[in-house]
Amino acid sequence: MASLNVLVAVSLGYVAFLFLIAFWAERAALRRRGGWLRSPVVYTLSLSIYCTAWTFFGAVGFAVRSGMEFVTIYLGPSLVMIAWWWILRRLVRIGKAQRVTSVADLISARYGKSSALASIVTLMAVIGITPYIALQLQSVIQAFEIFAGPGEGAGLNTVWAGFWATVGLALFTVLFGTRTLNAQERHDGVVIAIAVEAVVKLVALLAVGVFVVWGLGGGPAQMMARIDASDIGRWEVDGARWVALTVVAAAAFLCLPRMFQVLVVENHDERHVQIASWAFPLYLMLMSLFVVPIAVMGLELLPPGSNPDLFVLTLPLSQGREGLAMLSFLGGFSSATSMVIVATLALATMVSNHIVMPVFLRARAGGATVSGDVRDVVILSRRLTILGILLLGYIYFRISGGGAALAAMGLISFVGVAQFLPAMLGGIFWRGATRAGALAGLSLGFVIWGYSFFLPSIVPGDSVLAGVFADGPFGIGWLHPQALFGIAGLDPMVHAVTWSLTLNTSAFVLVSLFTFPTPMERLQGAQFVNVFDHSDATQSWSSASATSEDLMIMTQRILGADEAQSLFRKAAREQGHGRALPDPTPSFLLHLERELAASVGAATAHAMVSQLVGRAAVSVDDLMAVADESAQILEYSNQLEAKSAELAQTARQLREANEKLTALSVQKDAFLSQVSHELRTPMTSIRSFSEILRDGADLAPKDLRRYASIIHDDALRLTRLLDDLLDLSVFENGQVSLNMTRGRVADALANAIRTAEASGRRGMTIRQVGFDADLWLTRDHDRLGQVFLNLVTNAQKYCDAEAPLLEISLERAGDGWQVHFTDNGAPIPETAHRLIFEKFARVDQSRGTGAGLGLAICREIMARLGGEISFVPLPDGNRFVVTLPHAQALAAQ
Amino acid sequence: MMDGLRLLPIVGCLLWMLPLFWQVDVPEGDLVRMSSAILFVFGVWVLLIVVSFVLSRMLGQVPFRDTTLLRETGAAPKAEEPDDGAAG
Repeated sequence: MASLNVLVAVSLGYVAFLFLIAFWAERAALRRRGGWLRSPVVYTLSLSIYCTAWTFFGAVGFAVRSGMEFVTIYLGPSLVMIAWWWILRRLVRIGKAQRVTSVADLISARYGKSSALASIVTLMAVIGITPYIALQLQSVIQAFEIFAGPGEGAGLNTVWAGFWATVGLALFTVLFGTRTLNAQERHDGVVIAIAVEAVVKLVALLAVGVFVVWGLGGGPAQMMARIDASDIGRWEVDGARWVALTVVAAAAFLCLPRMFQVLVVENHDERHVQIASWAFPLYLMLMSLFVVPIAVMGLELLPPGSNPDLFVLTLPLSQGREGLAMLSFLGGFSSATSMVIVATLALATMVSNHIVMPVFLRARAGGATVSGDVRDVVILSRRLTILGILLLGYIYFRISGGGAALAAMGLISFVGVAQFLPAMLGGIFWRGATRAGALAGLSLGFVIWGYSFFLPSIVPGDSVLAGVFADGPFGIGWLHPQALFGIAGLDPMVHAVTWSLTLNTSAFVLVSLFTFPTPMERLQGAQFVNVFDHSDATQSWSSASATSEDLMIMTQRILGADEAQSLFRKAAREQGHGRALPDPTPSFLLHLERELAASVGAATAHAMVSQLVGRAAVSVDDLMAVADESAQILEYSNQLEAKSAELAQTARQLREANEKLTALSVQKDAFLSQVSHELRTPMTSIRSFSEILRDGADLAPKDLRRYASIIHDDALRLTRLLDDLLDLSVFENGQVSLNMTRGRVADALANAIRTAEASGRRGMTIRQVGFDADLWLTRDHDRLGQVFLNLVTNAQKYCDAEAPLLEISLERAGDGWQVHFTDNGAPIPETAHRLIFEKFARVDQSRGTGAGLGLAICREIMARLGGEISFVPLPDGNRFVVTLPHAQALAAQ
Repeated sequence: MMDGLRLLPIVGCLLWMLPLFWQVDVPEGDLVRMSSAILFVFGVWVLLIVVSFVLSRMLGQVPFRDTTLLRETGAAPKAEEPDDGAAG
């Protein structure tokens, strides 16, 4: 049997080898030659820190105790990986967009960069992980014990062995993990060492498995028969535990700080997730493949009472295969060390960013500018945290007595960290989730976990508290830690999982529904939930009062002088000037905050920058950014409204145009039919009388003359009608050319009266009043005369008084002059008032020979001349008023 | 293709929860044998891995190229899957 010294030497040699690999990988990454370091294979292998000593040693023990139940611990994560499209892809994108450094950072950043939430999550993680660390210590110590030899006397002192193992792991982690500060720069060395360890543990477990199946079991077929014949040869899994374990494992896979570290923080390329989606389940499958055969062979070959957690080690040893046992030990050692390294690193990052830094910044009242080099504080706090966490694990290991099954200890941690799940998933899928809701859910879930699962695991059986776990506190049965609300009979694990997760989720949802998120939360919530819409814009800074010098000083303290200077130089170059310091533009501040967040976490970085920029966490700008979102919606709807109004207006215009066109068309039709009618009447008489003339050779000369004169009259009428139509169309088209001359109005009127009287049919008295005023006009007097003539002849034609009288008077109206034509005939009926100026409108169809175009022409002429003509009904007559264009109406001197 | 990718975890979930229906309250001899259970659980596992591998291969790099391309051209990068929000 290998001596303990050989074992220690091999372990140290292995550690040294890992250290060298890590060192070399970091050098390569520094020289930018480490492209392969960022391959999907390395990413997938680094995920294997999920398989800790629990998997390597504990799975076999789990299988011996509960049969196939052990496999649920790997089914959950396999499902999560296969469902990468739903959750993991989103998480990775958010992690990159927000430069998230840990699971606490993620939750705090989502809920308005809340430091309270971050520190609570950190505390919960530290407490929750402690049993897990203890598990690793216990497995390593137990493995050492096996090699040290059975029996008390030959064995090593477990107290000191455990202590030295703890110190060794702590040293290793500190050396490995805290040499660089920027978590976002990722620990290339650590990751590559984990990948190597992943290969070692897989090879070791497969080697033991192959040895068991083919070397001891006699091949797969025989092995299956042996399995069926063994104590665990039947399916006796409790369904509730099967489901609960799968769920808890899936939740823990996402929420464990170390898993978050490798899944999200150390991820270089989102495409790696896609490849890991099948490669990692494959790895898990291979890791679990030989668990049952090893358990069965162990039960068969090893003496009763052997610790089943160590079958992987004791089985080869019992068969004298010391080399294989050594390989197996290294596999288990790899599992334990890689888990401890990454878990403590992740926790150290969380503790330093979310607990130490805020306290430190608050303690230094002056803030980020006057405090010393923050880098030292961060690194020191991380190293101390690593030591502290390992110490806690050691203490837990001592208190719990080191006798518990590995899987049972691991499960306590799993259920603890699974409490992050509602806040996390709610945060990335539900915008309504609020900080108060997350706080309530997390706290409630954690309290129930601690009360019903964690505490019972560490309270010794003979203490005072033991009574609490037997009968409930103060004998109150429904507060019994493992039978809450009086519902007994549940498996303690299922009990803890269902109650803690159910109440956690309910509190989270209910409180979220009834609280209102702050603007910052709304902002971050939108960023998280819609991460695929805008992965690059977080809420930005207004560069009110920050000076570049202050920022530079602060950044140097966190990132170190070289890196800070190169960062600022680069930013200055991008801003397009050669100075060493860039202008503190909002985009630069945002970039800087993200860079700082990678080192000290989002909440702290935000606090530091806001101290310098000199404004509260949420300013008017933030509010405006929030408002912006609603404004966009508003603007959009306004645009829609404007468009619809525009459309409505266009439609209205179209409708009006259409109505006008229809009216015009009706008018045109009416006009055409009237014209044809007017033309047809004289034409008919001309045709008939000319036919009589043609055919009637024996007509008396008197008739002949009469008929010819009728034809002549009608021809004249036609000509007049055509003249009128022509006039009208000329006026209506505006094609008329006016012959402007200067003359007296009285002269134009006198001419008109003369013409009218020449053709006058009936004697009518025409009286002129007021024409002694010597009114001169520069107008087309022929056209004006035409209007006068028309009005006079109309009066002659239609005035039916016994003694027809037409009084024509010239009167002053305001600035201008009016000519009134007043007759004493019967008043025009009221219904006709509106129509008298229309074409073909005749008040009395039976009288008169005109076509009814005269007044229409008068109206057009007056409009051209710049005046107007109107009709005024009188009680005992009619009056037409011609308003002369007053600008041209110049009273003579 | 994308739908297959989205559905696969649900299929896996259903298959792996089937053992819940295996009888446990029956005499020792009628219980499901461990070898069958192992074959079933690991069979589903292999099936899921193979399907996931094939889907991942067929998918190529589409889902990521979409967004990066959009971002590079400066266009507003819309989420490439409109029903993603339904996941919440």
